[in-house]
Amino acid sequence: MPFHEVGVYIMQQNNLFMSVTVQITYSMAISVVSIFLSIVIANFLKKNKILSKLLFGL
Amino acid sequence: MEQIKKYYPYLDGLKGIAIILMVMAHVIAWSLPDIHFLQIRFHEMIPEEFNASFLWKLIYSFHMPLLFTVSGFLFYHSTTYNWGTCLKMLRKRIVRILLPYVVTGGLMIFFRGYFGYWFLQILFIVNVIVVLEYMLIHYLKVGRLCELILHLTTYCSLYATCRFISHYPMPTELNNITGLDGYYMAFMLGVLLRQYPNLEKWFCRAWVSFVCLILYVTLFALQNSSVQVPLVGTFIPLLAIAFLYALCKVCDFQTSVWGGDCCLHREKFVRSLYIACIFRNAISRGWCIYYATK
Repeated sequence: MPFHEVGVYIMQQNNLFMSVTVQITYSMAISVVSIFLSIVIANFLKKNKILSKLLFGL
Repeated sequence: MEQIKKYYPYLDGLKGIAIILMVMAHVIAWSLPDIHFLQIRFHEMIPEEFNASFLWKLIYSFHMPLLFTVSGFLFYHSTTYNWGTCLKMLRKRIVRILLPYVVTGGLMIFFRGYFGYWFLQILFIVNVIVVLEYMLIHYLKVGRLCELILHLTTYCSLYATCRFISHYPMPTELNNITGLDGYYMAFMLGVLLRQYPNLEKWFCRAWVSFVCLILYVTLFALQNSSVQVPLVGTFIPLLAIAFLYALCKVCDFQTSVWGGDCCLHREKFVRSLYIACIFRNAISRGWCIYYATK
């Protein structure tokens, strides 16, 4: 899911604040999507008692 | 008799911050074309590498110990520790931590070529150590000072052991064992914050949080400079965690994020954050001048 083109763009930045802003914006966007999808998949897996026990210990 | 279960809303804020930061740091590292520079110190980097690694190093300095602190906070229960309760606690940890570690480890070998999520392994070991510690404390019926000495002795033993084994080649799955002492400290911070409410109140004072933040920024800069300071790596995450804990507790994200009382509480931290911003700007300006004159 991470985009290497964004990584290359980040490496080309000379300004610290610009680089940090791009990193925060990009990684926050990917993180929100990833965490949301993880929660959806986790809720689906928890419906099965055996899988829930094996993967989450619940 | 076990404590009545209580819900701590600010822990959700801490957990949320830690989870988001963890995913952000992984996204940044996985996107970069070459990551070897993430392990070297700032003074050895070129400016582009410094700009790309600053946020990653900031997040990595405390995000996993923060999760261990939350785990430690939720670990503690004021109950009688005997063989029966200890076996019950260990059985619960085996089901909740070791079993998922083994199962997900097997899946990881299949998909990624190496075993397991290292943090489950470390968390299980730390839980076992702390359960045995509290069993010893209750068996010997020692006071608070002896309890503190026991915790410090455990930390020193872990520190010595981890430094010793770090000189030997380890399989990839056991690489993170060498950081066990730091994670034990973070876990114990959570346990002690729950066990001693006065300690928690002390950490939530504005001037204490301010000092923690300034010390964190200073030690973070030192750790990534040419100056070698022992034990810096252990204290850096603890300082950041202390600040974030106080911030989340005072702001009380769950119940009054947008409420007026939250704004009043946040004012206590505005001065700290303002001075921290000046500090951060001074460090980055100093770094730019240092590199320009190098």
